[in-house]
Amino acid sequence: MKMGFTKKALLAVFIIAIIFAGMNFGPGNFIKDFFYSRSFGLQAALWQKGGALSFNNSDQAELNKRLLAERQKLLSDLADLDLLKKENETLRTALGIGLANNYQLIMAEVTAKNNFSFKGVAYGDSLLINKGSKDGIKKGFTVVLSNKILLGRVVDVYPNFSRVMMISSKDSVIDVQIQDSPGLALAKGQGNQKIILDMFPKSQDLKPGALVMTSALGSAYPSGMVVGSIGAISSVDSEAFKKAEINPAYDLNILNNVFIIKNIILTDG
Amino acid sequence: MAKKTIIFFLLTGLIFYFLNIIQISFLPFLDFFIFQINFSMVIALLVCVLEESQKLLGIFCAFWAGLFMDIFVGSMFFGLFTVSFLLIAIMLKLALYKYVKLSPWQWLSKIQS
Repeated sequence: MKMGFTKKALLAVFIIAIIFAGMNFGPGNFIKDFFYSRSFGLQAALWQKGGALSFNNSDQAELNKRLLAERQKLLSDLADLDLLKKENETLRTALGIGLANNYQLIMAEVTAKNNFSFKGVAYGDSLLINKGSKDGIKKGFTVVLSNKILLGRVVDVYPNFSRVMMISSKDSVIDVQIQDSPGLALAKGQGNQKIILDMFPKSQDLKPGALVMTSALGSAYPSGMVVGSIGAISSVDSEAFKKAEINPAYDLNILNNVFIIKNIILTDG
Repeated sequence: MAKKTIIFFLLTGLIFYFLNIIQISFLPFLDFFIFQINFSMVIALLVCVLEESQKLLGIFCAFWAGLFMDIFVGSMFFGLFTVSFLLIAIMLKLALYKYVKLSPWQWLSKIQS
């Protein structure tokens, strides 16, 4: 390696940098979309295999027990919700709102998940889905699972694909409310499927297992979406607020199809 | 020689392409910490450090690792990973060439003999 190599190499890097800078004004997204389209089959197959492998390795008895407990809890919640729904319908009719403006959903398939996080450049805990601007997807759309379980929001849109920042991403902060509690708090993503509850008033009760939902205060998501349930709670005397772990309501291992709420366009935040 | 280098360059690209696909579509399900590491970045760095400083494989690896990270992982500034990885690889190789001269393998074989 001669020392002239340095100049040549740096010149090459400079030229590459100029070319890439130019790509940011248009072709960059099409290059990404081209690679996503070409890799879609392989990625979808690997995603299915990965999910199945992980699911088989887990302790089935423990999983069944947990699912049964969750099902019972959800059924009881459903009963409460049914009452609320009737009450809501009555109120809507009374106010003349009607139920015509329900969410318009688009179903998409998940093909990849990124764990690498780099502030402002790459979102950790982000998913790639196979619907893009050609399907009417826009930046800021909310992504959910069935039963209003919140997954995240669209942060990048390509012609046939989109990137979804999950609520567990380090860049995600959501205004939330806790079931049976008047207090509001923040759900902060910690990366690697972890979410914590922060800024919850110390004076109010917080019970493990309580449902965490998006609040009407936040502008990023519609209110009433399920974020997860409260896990371990930590309360330090010197701090003014309580903190707790949030167990996400979704399970990555069975995350194949997601729904994008189409008729709400939201701003960043 | 140039033809061989180009084939070698493209072959490295193919390997890194599949590595990236596996990284983002299969490894997220494996719950051990080791599988959450970005392998393409680590491999490019290891090749840069371990190969002889005159060889170019480390720079090829850094280019492809950066390019595929820009495509599959990057959200803004297309090309940022490629250019930064290339610069880091070149600087690392120059530093190794200037101050170390020997690859770890050559160094080990010298000690053994």
